[in-house]
Amino acid sequence: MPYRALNGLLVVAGLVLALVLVVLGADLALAARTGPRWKRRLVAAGLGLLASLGLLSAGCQSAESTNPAPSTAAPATGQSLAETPQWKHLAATWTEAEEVASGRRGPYPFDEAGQKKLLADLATVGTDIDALAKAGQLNDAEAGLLREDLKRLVAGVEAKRPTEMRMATCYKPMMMQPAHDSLARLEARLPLLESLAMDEKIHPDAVRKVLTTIEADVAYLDAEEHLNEFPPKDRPAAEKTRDAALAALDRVKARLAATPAAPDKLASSKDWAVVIHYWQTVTPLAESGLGTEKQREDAAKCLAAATEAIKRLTDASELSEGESGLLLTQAQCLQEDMYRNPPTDSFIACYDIAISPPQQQSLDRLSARLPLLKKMLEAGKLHPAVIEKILPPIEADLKQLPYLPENYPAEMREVAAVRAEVEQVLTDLKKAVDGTK
Amino acid sequence: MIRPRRHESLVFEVTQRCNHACLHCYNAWKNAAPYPPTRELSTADTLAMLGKVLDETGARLISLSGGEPLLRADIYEIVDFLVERGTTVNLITNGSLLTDEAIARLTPNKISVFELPLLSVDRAVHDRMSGSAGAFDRVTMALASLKAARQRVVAVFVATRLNLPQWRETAELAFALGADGIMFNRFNPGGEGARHIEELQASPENLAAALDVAEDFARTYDFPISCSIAMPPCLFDTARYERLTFGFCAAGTERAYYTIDPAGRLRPCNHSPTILGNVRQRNFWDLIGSPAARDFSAARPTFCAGCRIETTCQGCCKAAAEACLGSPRNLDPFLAANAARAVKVR
Repeated sequence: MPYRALNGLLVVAGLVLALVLVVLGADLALAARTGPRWKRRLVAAGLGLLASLGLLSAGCQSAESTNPAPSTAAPATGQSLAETPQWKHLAATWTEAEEVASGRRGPYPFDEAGQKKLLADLATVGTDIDALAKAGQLNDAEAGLLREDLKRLVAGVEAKRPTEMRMATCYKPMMMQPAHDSLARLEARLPLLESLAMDEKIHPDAVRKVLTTIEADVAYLDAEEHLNEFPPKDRPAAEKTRDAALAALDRVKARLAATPAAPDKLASSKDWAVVIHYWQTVTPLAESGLGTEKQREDAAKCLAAATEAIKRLTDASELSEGESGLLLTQAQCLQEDMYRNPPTDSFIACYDIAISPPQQQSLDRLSARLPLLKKMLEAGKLHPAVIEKILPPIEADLKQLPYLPENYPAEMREVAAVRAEVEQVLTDLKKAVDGTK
Repeated sequence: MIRPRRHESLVFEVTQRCNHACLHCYNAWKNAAPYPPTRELSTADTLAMLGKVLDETGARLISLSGGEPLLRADIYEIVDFLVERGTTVNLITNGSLLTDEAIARLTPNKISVFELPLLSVDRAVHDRMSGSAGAFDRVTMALASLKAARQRVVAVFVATRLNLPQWRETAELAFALGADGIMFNRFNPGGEGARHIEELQASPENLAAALDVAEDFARTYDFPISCSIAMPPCLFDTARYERLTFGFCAAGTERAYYTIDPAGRLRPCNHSPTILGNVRQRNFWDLIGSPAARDFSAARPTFCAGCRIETTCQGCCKAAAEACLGSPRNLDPFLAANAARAVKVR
């Protein structure tokens, strides 16, 4: 239907335009050859537009357009093939189906009814071919070829979708109405939220968060200037909603007050306990540098478990990326410290380990930690439990730095720069942690 | 009247990594048939690839999916790039990483709709289906935080045997938390989900009962509920549900759900494992005009021959048929399991 209306409008517009041009005595052919260049271009563009509109209009013919009705009568003898009603029906249906199947009419060339009709017409084309073959108007080879091609056309028409499918998608976009715009929804939500909160179906922290949005909505309704925006007949309902919401809010808040705020989830989690276990296991070994093969193997297993635990805590957003990076770095440092001497139960004399000066090790470690410290500070999410773990070794490394040999000026400059940056970040971190306590 | 060639919407799977292990996950790379190894592109290459696709298609909506999109460190740069290009962005996420900090970086006016799973009002069921302990508390918190930030959120309920008994209460939970709508998607096997069909696939009777609940809920609360995964009309009388909206496969149409994986490979939809080619190397229009794309669009199961709405329905989800049974010409696994009860539309 929309195509038909469009076609009608285009025809009327074209006729009006033609009439106006005739009345004005405009000679388009002359105008296109003479006059200033801009004028000739304008005329050419206009002609081009009209031509393309005409083409589009032809392409938008509805599939419901009437083809000659199929004939049930046998073709008359002596009649030429083109004159037989069967051939006329076949030719018209064929042309339409060819346009549809070729895609010239676009991806949605008909509505569902139009598609059904075209497929029904194509079904009778088979009968036309049979009748024409029987009457000797088509020989066997011609009829056979037409039947084969007919299958292609039917498949092509079936593959096109009707206009009703324009909006089809398995990912259906939703018409949404923002919840806070709907008073009725606010009124209905609160009893449900209240019930879910009372039954402890939702975490109290989530309920607290939802309450902040509802409080904002209720506050909006509490303001006289906003209430005045309602038509007089709706105002009592708005006030009733507000009062009901306020009462429900009080009840939910009272319930929440009885539920203490969640403790630090990180500190009480099983994964954090795994991390702590690693620290407790490896710290004495790292500080002394003394340990047996068995102790070191156990520590390595603890490290693997702690690494996995840190990853899980990061994935669950319990640790920020900066925090987890620092913890992993620190865990690795402890591991290295633990290995700085041969195992105490080893009697192999030629145990070869490369030892770099402790000052250099400290510098390397601080340089590696600095970007992570900055990242952690930027993230703004700081856990005192994590800070407690990572600060002491950093401070210990800072103490090592002044003992680098003074005859290495380049290194000394690097030391000074790293030291200043680390100290600044540490000061900021401590301030931030104090702020969160 | 002469419209520039345009494909309105696309899906970009920003990463294949995920911190959940959903039983119903349909990701194509989890199918039994191997999926080519996929390395994420660098940020610069990703943005260049997206820019090329936007230039070619004129797409105005990009849905970011995964994996879990927020596991990718440069997700914010990707979002900012798309927003700067004037594209509407939807984010499909499990919500576990939507901290206040993350929400602050994704707001205001960057994400059009956040899609979060809300699989059950029962945290044990939600966590089990998500394959992640604590998932329920994280997603409800994320939903509440998004609403506190005045964002639009759609809760996605994947209907399975495990959670259908709690459907009504789960819808109430979504509503109470302030969600703006619910997608009620029947479990559509594929990927990891193909290994759990017995455990998850609900019967048509149970799903029909759930649709009745959904209709009543949508009417009672004036709340939008849409069924995106096609509900075969030969098994469900969808015309009965005036308040629900139903999706159909859009393969081959201008609304098709073409999906780009992290390496730039284009597929006909996010459920299908068919790779049409790489949009970094070839023109989008060449790829969707390729024989593989045409085959996928034209595929229909012989079971549907003679059904009046065969062309409209396309035999339900051909991508699920492809993922589970090897070819889009096979019958959607849900339909196949219930074929004896199907009544063709005449």
